[in-house]
Amino acid sequence: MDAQTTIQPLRIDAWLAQFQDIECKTNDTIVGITCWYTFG
Amino acid sequence: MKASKTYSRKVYISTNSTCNLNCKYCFENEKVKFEFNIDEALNILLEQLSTQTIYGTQISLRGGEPFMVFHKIKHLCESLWSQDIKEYYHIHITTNGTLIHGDIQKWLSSNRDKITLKLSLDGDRKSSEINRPKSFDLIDFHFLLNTWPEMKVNTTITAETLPYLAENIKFINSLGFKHITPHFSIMTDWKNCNLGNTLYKQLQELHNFYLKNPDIEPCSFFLSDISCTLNDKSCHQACNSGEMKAYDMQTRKYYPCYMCFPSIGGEKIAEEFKKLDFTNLEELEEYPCKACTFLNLCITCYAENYITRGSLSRRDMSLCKYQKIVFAVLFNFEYNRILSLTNPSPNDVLKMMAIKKHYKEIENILKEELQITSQVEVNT
Repeated sequence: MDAQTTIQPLRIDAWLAQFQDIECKTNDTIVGITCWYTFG
Repeated sequence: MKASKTYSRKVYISTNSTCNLNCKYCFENEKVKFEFNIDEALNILLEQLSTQTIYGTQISLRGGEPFMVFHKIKHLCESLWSQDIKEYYHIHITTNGTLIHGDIQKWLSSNRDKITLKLSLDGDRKSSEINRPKSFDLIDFHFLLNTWPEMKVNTTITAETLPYLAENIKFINSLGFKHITPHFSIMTDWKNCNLGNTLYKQLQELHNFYLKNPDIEPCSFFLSDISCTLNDKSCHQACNSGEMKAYDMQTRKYYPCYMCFPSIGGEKIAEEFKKLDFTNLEELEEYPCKACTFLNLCITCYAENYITRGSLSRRDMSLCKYQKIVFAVLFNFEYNRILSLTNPSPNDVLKMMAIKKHYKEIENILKEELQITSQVEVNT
């Protein structure tokens, strides 16, 4: 599979429409990625 | 107390400044050779462990190369284990692996449930020879993986080894290591390296490799949770700097993180660190990073920012181009991975929403940084 020419916006919309019933919401608990020195 | 991947408290102890290797990217300023004092370290640890936490304490012993002072580490650990301590704790040691033979192996093997090692390994023999000469053949990979099948590996990328990134990650995988964290060498000037297209090619190779081999855990470049880019404001955890206790045995002082030790940035900077507020980084973020879509994905070392550029949030802009290329390939990887799922999780849906929100910026990154124009197909 080629990494280029893959992201297709309409395909995203179609995909999201399939899973619109899945409950998900963003909130402030989503945290960013942190320093590799101190984690893991 | 149940062991947890995330500890409530992390205590760093500097064991020694000496190392048996001469890595080209080492940022330790080894002007003074020192080894820790066992009684002093024991007292520090007993003091820290005297209060109980919910998820326990991670004790990290770090050098130099800690196994240069194996006899002292052994003494310290056995003294600690002989104490009646209610707090759950576990000892972590990051090592180059080259000294782990004979008696050290025997001792580690018999204490594998109380100690975990993390290995620094930059790739195959060729790349190891470039970054850290005369190290590769001294590492007993068989012992390490037999003792800790889940051992984590840190892989430092330098300008000289970046062209072999995919080969190196796949090689480390082939040895049997499952958890690989590559990172660009810090305190390095990446500005004039002109390796954007090379990095993209390497990451594409890994992208394809991971899609074809879904049972292999991707390296950490491909594991970042892109849903955090849905948050418009900075939501970085402060890399735990504010919660961490790092005790420098050389100066006999606590610092927010071991990267603040005087042996790295000098004594004056180390003192300034103590006055800084690591707990509210959102207020500290600076432009242009503050306005960047990928801020919450962008791994940075705040201490290195301060040491090198005089501000906690002043990231290394010479690395910005490379970080963005990593994010572009990560978004592409997640898009392809998630599309193939029949039962996506709520987090996968969030990730796809993030891809929808940012695909134009991904396209721009590839146009601006790599002059690639065919990444995104807009169906009309």
